[in-house]
Amino acid sequence: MNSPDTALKEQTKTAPPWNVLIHDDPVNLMEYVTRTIQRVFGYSEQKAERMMLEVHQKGKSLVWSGEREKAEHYVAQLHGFQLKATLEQVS
Amino acid sequence: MKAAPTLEGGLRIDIERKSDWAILSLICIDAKGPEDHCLAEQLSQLSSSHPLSENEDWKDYVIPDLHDTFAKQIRDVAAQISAANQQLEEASSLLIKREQVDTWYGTLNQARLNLENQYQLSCLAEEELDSLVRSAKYRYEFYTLVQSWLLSVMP
Repeated sequence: MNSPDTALKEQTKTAPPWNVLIHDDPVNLMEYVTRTIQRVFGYSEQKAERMMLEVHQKGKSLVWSGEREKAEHYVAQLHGFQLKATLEQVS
Repeated sequence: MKAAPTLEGGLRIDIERKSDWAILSLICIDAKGPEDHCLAEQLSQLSSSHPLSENEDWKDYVIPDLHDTFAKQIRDVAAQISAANQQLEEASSLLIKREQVDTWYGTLNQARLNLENQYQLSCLAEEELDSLVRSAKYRYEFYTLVQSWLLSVMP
């Protein structure tokens, strides 16, 4: 039988991740969206541009996945750049 | 009105006629939007399986913080336009320094978001526009143009 500590660690390890999504909008310029993704996540220009195009063509893009606290931090940053970003827990 | 990048990584806007100041001052009026408007709150209300508008910490900390950031952007740009306008006799240009580029971009973005919210400009055809909406559309397009100038010098 697991100790409470071990059980907590396992629960933490297996907790479903949280997704950060950027949604399309008619206002934000494509180049600005690419630059913002680069600034917030430190991605390469190529990766950020691919995500921006996905936002533009498919309406949204999954830009980051991981623990909740960090995901909330990223969404707050994206809102600070006035991008439409949401948080979703992977089901 | 003309614009050119500066050697220091900023942007210089040359004022050619007095009406240019009136056009520039509209940026902050459009950015403020209606009295009860709060962009940070609006962003938190986006549809999601985990709406941030229902998150107490978000409401208590993130929204007020973002609201202050957005309000400060507008205040800074308004102060800069007003100061430059008062020095009109000596200088006929407005200098946006490298470190002010983000503030200006953010203010113009708020103005465009408000105009889009108010008039749904992206969905309207040219022939559907009355004079009020047409004026809003011209401002929206002008702000987009200035944003593209700023993007070209953005660090």
